Amino acid sequence: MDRKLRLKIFLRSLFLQSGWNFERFQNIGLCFTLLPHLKKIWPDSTRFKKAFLRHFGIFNTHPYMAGFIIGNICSMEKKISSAKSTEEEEKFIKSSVNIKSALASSFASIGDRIFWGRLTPIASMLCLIVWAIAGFYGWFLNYGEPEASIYILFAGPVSGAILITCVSLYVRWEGLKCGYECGGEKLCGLDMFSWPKIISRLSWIGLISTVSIFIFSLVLASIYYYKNFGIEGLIFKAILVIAAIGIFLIFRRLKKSIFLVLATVIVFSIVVVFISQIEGIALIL
Amino acid sequence: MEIIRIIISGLIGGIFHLDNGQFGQFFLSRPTFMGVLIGSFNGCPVEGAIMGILIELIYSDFLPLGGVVPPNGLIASSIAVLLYAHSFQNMSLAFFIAIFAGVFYSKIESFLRRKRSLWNAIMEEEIQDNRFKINYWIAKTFIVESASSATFIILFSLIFKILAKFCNFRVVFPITDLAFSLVPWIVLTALILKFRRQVVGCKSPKGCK
Repeated sequence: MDRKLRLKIFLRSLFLQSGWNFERFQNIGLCFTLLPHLKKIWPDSTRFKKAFLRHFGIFNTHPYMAGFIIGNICSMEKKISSAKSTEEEEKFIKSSVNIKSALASSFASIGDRIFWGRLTPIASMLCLIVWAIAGFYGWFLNYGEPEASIYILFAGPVSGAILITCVSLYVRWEGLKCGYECGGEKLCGLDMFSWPKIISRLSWIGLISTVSIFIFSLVLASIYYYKNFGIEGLIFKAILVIAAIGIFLIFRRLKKSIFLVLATVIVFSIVVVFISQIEGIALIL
Repeated sequence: MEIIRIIISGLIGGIFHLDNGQFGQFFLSRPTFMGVLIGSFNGCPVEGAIMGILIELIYSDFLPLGGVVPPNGLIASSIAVLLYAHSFQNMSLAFFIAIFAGVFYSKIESFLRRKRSLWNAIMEEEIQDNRFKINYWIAKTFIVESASSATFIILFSLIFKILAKFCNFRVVFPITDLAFSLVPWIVLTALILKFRRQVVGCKSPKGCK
């Protein structure tokens, strides 16, 4: 595949999710992506139509990992177009369909684990780390009027976006190249990186960064409450936080949604606010 | 003037919504970024950032696996900022209502995706008749998605702006303020548990290797 065509397909692959539907998932986006390649290798309109409809069926994978499968499809289509007999052509078509669906589900699973399961929350943690370094703690100490410059506020989410975008664009571009080079092979692209190692390392990075942010916030919040509300205020707040975390842990054990946890925390807050307004108890609190 | 700001914010939300599911996924539609962006436009970037990051951390509990449509963080953060700036001047109530709005919008998104399934048969017929209009269908998706999200943000914010004039929401502020102050600790615990499960899973013999 020449560089110009690869760039064209790469740019079109950014539209893969458009037209997502429950019947055939990413079929519209996939056909839109493949269009320049199919037009090039199938100049005859009848055969082009056939090839186009071949890819208009069910297709669903992770958008960032789709490059591997798209490259593979392009390579397989080229093989189909250069088949010497009808039998050979049908054999290639059959294996192309099978490989496409097998790779789509494998890469969907890898992509979900890497990007949605790990890199996305790591990007959120990166945002909090950037804010913490810049001295903005308003997200957990939101009393009074927290202040921060607009540049610091943007720096947090933009750093996360840059991290994810750089990784995703690299995987998309290299995936397209790798998929085209090993097109037709069942393990095409699956052995390009050591995916389990990457997944495991990202889990550790995520855990370490989240625990660090938690401890940092806890220490800072404790100092803040002690300075502003004294030891009683600190103990009262600590009891509330422990109770809220306890509610969350109970619901998590019961495999309930986080929204149910939030609803219960609101009910818990109603009770606390009601109790704190009773004379006598208010004095203790 | 406030209504014009709400409308422009809705339109900005509608455009950035395309990054969420239609083009690129460059993370510009993440709640934190949108919170700061819409917040800057409405004069409350700090509050936008605070509500945005908490919405992002809550919604990161959901994975958009397979055909699952997760709650929409962009809608939630945009609405949170607009409710704060133009209806309540209180972050906590705006935040909890916006969380509900994000979940509600995912039902609308599911509906749009279901409706798009009908396009397949029409497109197949067009292709059989040698009429390739795939660019038209892609453009139609963009317009429908963008318009529906913008309309939802604007209408939801306007409804609460009107409600805020007639109802005394101040009564619930102490309750929502307390609940809101506990949210960061809950979401961080949720994330720690999530990563811990992943790490332990990878260590076990049945793990990622």
